[in-house]
This record gives sequence, structure tokens and C-alpha cells, in this order.
Amino acid sequence: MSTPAQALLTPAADFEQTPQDRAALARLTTASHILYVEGHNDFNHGQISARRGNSDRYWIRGAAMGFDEVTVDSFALCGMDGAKLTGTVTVPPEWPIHSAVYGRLPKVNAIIHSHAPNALIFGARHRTLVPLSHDGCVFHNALGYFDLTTNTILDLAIAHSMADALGEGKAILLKNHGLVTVGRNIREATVLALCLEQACALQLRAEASGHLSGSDPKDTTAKNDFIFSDVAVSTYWSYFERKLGRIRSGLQLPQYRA
Amino acid sequence: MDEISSRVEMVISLASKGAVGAAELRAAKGSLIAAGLDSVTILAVIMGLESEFGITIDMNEDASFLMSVDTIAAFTQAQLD
Repeated sequence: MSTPAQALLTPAADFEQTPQDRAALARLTTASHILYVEGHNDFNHGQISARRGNSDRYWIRGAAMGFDEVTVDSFALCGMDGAKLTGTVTVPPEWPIHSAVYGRLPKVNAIIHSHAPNALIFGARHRTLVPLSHDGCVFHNALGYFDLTTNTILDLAIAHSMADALGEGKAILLKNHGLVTVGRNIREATVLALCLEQACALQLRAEASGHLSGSDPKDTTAKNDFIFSDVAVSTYWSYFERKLGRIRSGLQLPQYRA
Repeated sequence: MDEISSRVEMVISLASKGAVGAAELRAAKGSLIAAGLDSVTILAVIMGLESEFGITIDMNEDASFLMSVDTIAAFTQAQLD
């Protein structure tokens, strides 16, 4: 197994992208831009990745670039040991987060890690995310918390501890660090990241107002079944994709986010 | 029936919340429309295929593979090759 430093230096082998690779890279690029527009960027950047088919390899966005800077050439194909199999970018040293989750959860096909500000502030202390909004309901009994370290996760042992805390959940808050969402596909992982940031933002605002009230368990379950069905998530992705298209073409201003 | 076709049938059954299972699909000779799937359920089928096989389906491309279990299985196999 390679160390993080070895992973950064592993040379790329000859590799020819398939049409499916190109489709996945285009989707990952769109997801990256959506994350940027929706307030998930910061100078330390986070990562996005997607499993290649049902394999033990995954595409991951290269190190040291913003979600807004991503193109289809911004990804490396990575093995579970962090070794780069192809791509011209550097594998980010946080690859253990992705390998630990993909390695133990075969149904997870996409992962997002960001330092979205509201999730980061909310996650500075361990507490319940109240199903205050629709967004919050999807994480009912599906949100983990990791506080073994607040530092960047650079080795597999710590990443496995994080995966322990994630369990079979949909997301995890990393204390004083950010969020990780996992999805069965890229669209789901992206929508979950947007929902978690929004749910945390609303709860912080509600707490500041002194009034915090969430949906009851029956409604929460019903919302999960309907508002977060596969069809619904598909439509949410399509909305964000259309919005991104309008912003890219100058037909809509980016949303101001404090 | 091969493994991929079986998994495609499972995806369709889950997407239709059990309304269209293997028996209904075989009675309809594999045709999704003849088996009673509507356009909304087909959206769920697409999400289900992405989740089951770890693939990405670009709906701006030719979607004619969504005709039947056989055409979906052939498309999926091509994505995994």
C-alpha cells in the first residue's frame, strides 16, 4: 500500500478513456461547478469523486484547484491504495477519505467532501440536526459525526475511523472541518451536499432566533419517501444543472451567499 | 437470463415500487412502455441504473436504449466494458 506521498508521485499508465469515462467526467465537472455556485468552495477546496463502474477504482478531482476551476481534464483515476492510474493532475492527499468509504460501502458510487461554511460552523459541536426544513429530513438517522481530529484526513487509519462514524448513513459532519456526503450516484451525492449545507444554515438561523422546531417523525419519514425519492433527486439535479447553464451563459446572476 | 438483465429487472421493479416486476416485463416482451411504465418512472429507472451499476447516463445523448430490458442490458454492458 502506498503512502500519501507515494500516491502523489505514482506515474500514470497508458489509459484510454471510454465513452462512459467521458460521461462520468462531464457529470463530475458539472457537479463541481454546481457545488461552487451553491457555496461549497473555499481556498482549501475539498474533493469530489466517483467510482468507475462497479470497480475498486475511482475518479477524483485533482489537488489544489477550486470547484470552479474544474474541467473534464481535472481528474485522476485512483486505486484504493491512492495510486494514480491515469490523469495529468495530482491525486489529492485526502484520497484516504474516499478509499475508506468506497472500500467498505459497495453501494456508494460518489463522494463529496467540502468545507461549506454553514456545515462547518454547525459541525463545530456535536448535536442533532433537527428536521427543520425539507433538506434536514433526508439526514434523519443518517448523519454521522467525526471528532477524532479536526485536521485534514491524510491516512487510512483515520479515514476508517471516519467511515466507522459514517456507518450506513448519507453524510457525516467533520468537527471544525466540513462535510462528507455519499451517494449511490453523482447526482445524489451532490444534492445531498447542497441539502446538508442548507439544513445547517437554516438551523443556525433558527437557533439564533430562539425558536427551533422540526417535523415530527411521521412527516420526516413521509418526506424522505416522497421529497427525496430517486425521481425527486433527479429533478433537483436537473434544476441545479439548468441554473448553472443560465449562469454560465450570462442569463442569471450567481446567487449572493453570506 | 444473464446477470445484468436480472439486475436491470430489479432496478425496474424498485423504480416502479414493485408494480412492474419480472413477470410483467416478460409478459410485455421486455418493453418498458408495454409493461406500463410512465415517463416519471423511467426517470427513476435511469437513477436506479446509475446507482446499481456505478455508471453515468447522459440524457442529452440518444436515449433509445430505454426501450426494453434487452436494450438497457446491452447499453449497460457496453458502459462497463
